[in-house]
Formats: sequence, C-alpha cells, structure tokens
Amino acid sequence: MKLKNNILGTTALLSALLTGTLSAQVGKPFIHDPSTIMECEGKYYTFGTGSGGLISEDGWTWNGGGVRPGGGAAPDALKIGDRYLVVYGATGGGLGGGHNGKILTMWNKTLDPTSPDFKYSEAIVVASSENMEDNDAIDPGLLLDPTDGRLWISYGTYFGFIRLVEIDPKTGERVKGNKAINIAIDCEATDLMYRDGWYYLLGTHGTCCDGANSTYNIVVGRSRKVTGPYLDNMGRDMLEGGGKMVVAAGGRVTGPGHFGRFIMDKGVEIMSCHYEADLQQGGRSVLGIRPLLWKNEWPVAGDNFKEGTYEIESERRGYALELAVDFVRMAGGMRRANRDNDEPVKPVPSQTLADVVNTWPTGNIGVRIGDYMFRPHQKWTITAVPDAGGYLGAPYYKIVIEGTDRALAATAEAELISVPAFTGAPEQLWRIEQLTDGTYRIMPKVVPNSTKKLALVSSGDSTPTLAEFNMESDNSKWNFKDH
Amino acid sequence: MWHALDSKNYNVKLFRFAYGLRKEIYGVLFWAVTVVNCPQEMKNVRLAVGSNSASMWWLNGKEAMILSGDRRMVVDDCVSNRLTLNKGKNIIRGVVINGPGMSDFCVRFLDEEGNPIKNLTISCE
Repeated sequence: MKLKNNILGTTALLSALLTGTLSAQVGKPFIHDPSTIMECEGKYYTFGTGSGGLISEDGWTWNGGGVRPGGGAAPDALKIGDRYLVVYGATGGGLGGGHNGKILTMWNKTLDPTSPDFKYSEAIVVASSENMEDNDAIDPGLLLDPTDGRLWISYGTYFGFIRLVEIDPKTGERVKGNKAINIAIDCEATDLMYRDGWYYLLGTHGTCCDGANSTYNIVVGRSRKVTGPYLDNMGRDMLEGGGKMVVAAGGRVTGPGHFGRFIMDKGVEIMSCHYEADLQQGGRSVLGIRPLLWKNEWPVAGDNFKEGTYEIESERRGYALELAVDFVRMAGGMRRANRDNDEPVKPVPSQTLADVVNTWPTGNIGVRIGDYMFRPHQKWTITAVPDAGGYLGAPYYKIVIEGTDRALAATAEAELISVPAFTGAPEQLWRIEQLTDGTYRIMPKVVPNSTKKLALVSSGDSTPTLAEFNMESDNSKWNFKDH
Repeated sequence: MWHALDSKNYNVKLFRFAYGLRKEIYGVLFWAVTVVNCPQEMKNVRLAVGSNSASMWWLNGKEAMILSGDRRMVVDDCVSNRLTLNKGKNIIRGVVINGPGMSDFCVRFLDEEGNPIKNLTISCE
C-alpha cells in the first residue's frame, strides 16, 4: 500500500511539473510575417519575410524547407481552383526613407518544392508606392470574396494608409482601371476575411521587430462592404486608428502579428500569426497557431489548450465524464436542523484517490457521464504526449484519471473505455480543439479498425460514445473546468 | 518658429507639416497651441487625444494628460480627468515627440456621455 501511494505521489508530482501551456509550435518554427497556412497534398505550408518558409507534415512540428522566390516582406497565399496564388512585397518598407514598394503576385500548381509540378510563374506587379506618398506597398493580404468571387489585396504599413486593390482571380493581375482605396491607418501586415455578411480587416498594431519588447498586437474592424468603412466595436473607423483587440501578448510570447485564418471544419477554425518573441525559444520570432473564436460576430483568439486536471463537462447536460465505478459515499450526511450551531466548524476533507481506488476494478473500466461531485473518478489529467505528433496547431494529449496512469481510450466498436495504463497506442491519443463558440471538440487519433474521424459525443445525458462531429449539436461539445 | 495651420482633416499630420516645410521629419519634437472659444462655461468635460507618438497636453496652463511610450494615433485613445472649459478663451498646449515613421495627433473635447462637444470654435490667438 505504501509503495502504491509513493507511485501515485510520484505521478502526481510529474503531472504538476508538466502542467503548462504549449503556446507555439515545435521543431524549428522560426518565421516572421507568416502567410496564411495552406494545405497542399497532405502537408502544411507558410511563407515568411525574407525568403523561404516552413513546412509541416502534421501541423504541429514545423521546419524550414518552403520555397518562395522574390525575397521582400510579409507574403500571403491563397488557393484558387487548382493553383496557389502567392503575393509579396518586393521591398522591406522603410522608416528612414525608401518607401518605393511593389506588390507582386505569382502562381504555382503546388507548394511542394520536391514536386515536378513545382514552378512559380513570373511575378507580376499589381500595386506600388513611390517616393514619400502616404503608403508603403508591402505586407499584402488576400481575400477571395465568397459572395461574388472577386479577389482583393490589402497592403501597407504604418507609413500612411492601408490600401485595397482588386485583382483578377484568373490571372493574378490588377483589374484594369481599378483604383486603390484607403481603408485604414496605423497598422500593417493586414489581412481580410469574410463571415456571415461581414468583411473583417485584421491589422497588426504596436511596434515590430524589437524582440521581447515588441508591442505588436492584432486588431480588427468590420464592414458590410469589402471596400469599407471598417469600424471597430466602438464605431471608430480604422481610418481613424480604430481597432478591436483580437490577440495581444500573453503567457511567454510577445507581439502577435500578421493574422491568417484557416477553417478546418464547420465550427473549427484556427488563426496563424507570428510571435515577435517566444521567451521559451530564445526570444526568437516563431509561428503561432491558436483557436479562432467568434463572440458576438467578432473574432477573438482562443488560448492554446492548457495541460492540467479538469472536469470534462458535456455541453449537452452539464454532466461530467467519469469512470463507471461505484459511487463511494463520503462520511456523514445531512446535518439536522436542530443541531447546536455553536459547535466548532471543521473543514471536511475532499475524497481522495486513496479513499476509493481499491474499490475500482484493476482492468478496463467503462466510461459514462454523471453529476459532477469532484470525486477522483471524475478528475482527468490531460498532458501532451511528446513525440506522438499532432495536428494543426497542437500536439496529441493523453487523458488519464488524476494521480493514475488509467487512460481514456477509443474502442474498435467506436465506444469509450479506460485502460489501466497508458501505452501510447494511437487510440489513447486525443485531439483537443477549441471551437468557434469556445467549447471543445475531443477526438481520438484513431478509432481501431476504422478510418472514420469520430469525436467524443453524448449519445444520452449519461452516456458517451464516438460519432461524427456536428457543430450544430451540443452533443458534440465539451468544456474543461478547472475546479 | 511658430506656424499657423488650419487642418481640414480630423487630425494634424505633423509628418506632412514638417516635410512640407523641409524640416526634420524623424527624431523631432512638435509644439502645438490652439485657442478654444467656448460660448459658456462647461464643467465635467474631458480632453480626448490620440497621438503618434508620445505626447503631453495642458489646458489653461494646467497639465491635463500624458500619452506615454511608442504609440500610434487612435481617436479618443487617452482621455483626461474631468475639466472645466471657461467661457471665452481656453488655451490648449501640447507637445508631440516623433521617432521614426509618421507623426500626427487629434484632439477634441467629450461631454459626460462621451459625445464630442461641437459648439466650440478655435483660433490661433
């Protein structure tokens, strides 16, 4: 018994040491001004200022290898039909002069530099700035309007206006006769997106390129028309400096900038950015990927999942995921109303794992959903699994009962079970993604003998299962509560 | 040297002002003064300022606010404590510092509901 307690204690300590937030990607995710993440033939790509870019096979581990000619600043990318359009600023802008800038577009059939189809078309100038006019033609962002198929580029820096031009989505050339429109000031590295009748202009505010002291942050305004005016939540025009915060520094990363949106599924969106400095990674500028949430029709960055011990609460009923074990009563019962209220008040200790673990079977134990009573069979410790790979923006996690190695697993019957020890098997690895409404989707890496992508779902108030994710149903949604 | 300027914009583009006068545009300090003519005494008004970059402002010789650090101009970025505008002339004095990049500022008064006060006129004397 003593040995068992020591083992439990050691596990708990290890869990405590591991508890934290993995806020940036792993590998060598060093980049500045990452373009919107593109998926191409099973891999992910993003390009940055300078040249080249990052490639990831799973969306979690990123390394160099991307190829983008032209140098310059802050590219963006967009898939149109079966081709990729890449846009970049040929100059680096300048605060002490040198405001002659050019925005160029070029096409490629693939982003994989090892593919025989990999070949960029000749770059075309689509916008420019000259001398000391109120604009630096760098930092372009692309939007293909889903309502009418028109293609737009926003570009510019702090030096004057952010401007909007229209591009021919077939050729990548500037639409003939199109005149640039001023849509914002006092930001750079802009991007555009559309959602539910609103056009959103994302701009990077604050100071760039000063490592841990960079105050970069991403703000947003919105408009019913792509041409603006883009107003913030206070009604201020972004032409007057308006902007509502999407994400600022936090954790151990400073200076998020250069927004990009990636829609994985309905209700599952992520945003990419760079952090000017990741203090965990030597203060380097790194790729950041985090959930993108929508609150009152405004985008806001979610937080990367924090390792820890949680109640896993169903959005359906509010019940908690738990082991299917006998409920062990705590001592005492209701205090009778006619007892002496002058008796000393003594805290009642919470039920501990040691109080109940010997009542649990030692083999597999089923999983159900029930009233949360902060009991040991309801507390799940969730930690990232090193070297187990990941998905776009996060690593796979293991989910074990607190203080034990008893792990949540998917079965070949697409049901849930808890196994006595975590082995690292893929059905014991879990994908945790924050949804656009702030709740979470939980999915096993694999369901044994199945190729289906299934999620943890409430089939009844008290019964979990694995089934296809449905953003329209609270059955598919979960919350992590840190009581 | 002082220059009289009636900006037709909601803001004063200091960068363009200096550039147009062929003066230094980076690493400079601008002083600004205007006279606000008020038809009657107004209590509990607030001075609202946005500036690129840091700035400091006085109303009738008394410090009203400071906008610190490297910053961009945003309408109503910083707002003073409650002030009183005298009937007749009131003097606003400000100083804006610019390192690299553009430099500009915008100033207005807000009433207790946060709405801009419009029945004012300005002059340079």
